[in-house]
Amino acid sequence: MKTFVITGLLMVVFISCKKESTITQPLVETIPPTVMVTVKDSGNFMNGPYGSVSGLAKIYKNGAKYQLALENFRSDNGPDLKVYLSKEIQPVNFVNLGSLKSTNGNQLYDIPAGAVLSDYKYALVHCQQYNHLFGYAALKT
Amino acid sequence: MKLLLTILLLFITITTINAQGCSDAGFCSLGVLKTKMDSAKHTISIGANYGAGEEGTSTINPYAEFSYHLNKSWAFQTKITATYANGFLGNKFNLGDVYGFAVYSPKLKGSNILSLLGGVKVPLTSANDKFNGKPLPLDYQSSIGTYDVIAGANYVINKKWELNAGLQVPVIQVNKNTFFPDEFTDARIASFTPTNNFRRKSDALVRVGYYINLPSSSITIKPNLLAIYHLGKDSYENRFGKRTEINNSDGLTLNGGLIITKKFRNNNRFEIVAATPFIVRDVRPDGLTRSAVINLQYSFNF
Repeated sequence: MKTFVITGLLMVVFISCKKESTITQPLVETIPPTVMVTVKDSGNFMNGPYGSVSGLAKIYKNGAKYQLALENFRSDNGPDLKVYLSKEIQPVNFVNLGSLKSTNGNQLYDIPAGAVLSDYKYALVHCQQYNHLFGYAALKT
Repeated sequence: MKLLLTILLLFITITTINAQGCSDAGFCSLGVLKTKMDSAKHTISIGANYGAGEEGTSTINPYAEFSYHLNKSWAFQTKITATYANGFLGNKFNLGDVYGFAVYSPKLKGSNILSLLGGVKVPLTSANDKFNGKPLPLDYQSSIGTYDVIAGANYVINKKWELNAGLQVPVIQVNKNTFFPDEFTDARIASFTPTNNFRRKSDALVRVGYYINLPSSSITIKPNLLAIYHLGKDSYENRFGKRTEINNSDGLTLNGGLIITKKFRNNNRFEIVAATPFIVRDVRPDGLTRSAVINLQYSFNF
């Protein structure tokens, strides 16, 4: 009985950790070149301790709003992947831009009004539920 | 039987006219907080309820309940729930919560019956189920991800009037929900509140019911009035990681309900519950609000 319970609990833990939820279909979100103005920094993604992420992170001004673009992007899948702008590599002070739309392709994320962009030096792909960093891009001029 | 059907049809009509509903994290339908206990040594109940929620969201909640009388004074009850939710954001099925509680019934003079209940609710999910990669609001989640302590009392007076009182306090919150409405484009999403890392406040419950016995058909009808007070404002973590109170998420929900029970010769029971609210909280981020609830349950007593 004890073995059965322990095995059951381990299976639940294993299943919950391995649950992958982000869609894998490649996205092709891009800003039309006519409105594309690079206003801040960009940087290439590096792998974090819990995943592999590659591609370029760039911040654009699109009309009145700022957007983070992930270009030629690819990431390992995970249970609860989010895109953050963060002051640190391990997010403590951050802006949550939302759920990672896809593990592949080009994608855009609106940056909420009120975010002081110069404060955030990293773009992160972060598993929120388990607080696991999958990848980060240092944003530089 | 004709009377039973008439009452049921009348109630279904009423419940579909009114809006918003029975709003608590499970204890209004829990054991003696719903109705007095059977006197059998063992009772196994299986049931399901159908609820109509926000913006056409519907939920089906199957559950199983087991009661065991240790002696005339003490009983133990446990319950496991699950939820299938369906709506314009998708559909989801998952296990919900497990309840375990003890019931103490002290010996009283006369025919009055008092039962005291104490127990816990343990969530089986962290309320972060998704559909097509997008986090779903709590309306679609099978649990709200809180470990709760539950205490309550049931008092039956002269076999006619029944009074319930209860308190449900979240003590450990493991809600990992990450829902933000602005990740969706459908206009109906405006009815949903952000619930990223949602934190819920306690509920208090008071119910008054009256038993109408129809001895010739072994049917009991219990109309009841249920008041649930949500004791504080719930909160979520905003885009900047700051905890934010949800205005108007506290306050009173007042429900009318009807419990119809048919007892069979073998001592088994079939129960129909219908409920609808008359007063609701302005904002109901926990997704527990239902415009109408119909519950069917069959109990095996042995």
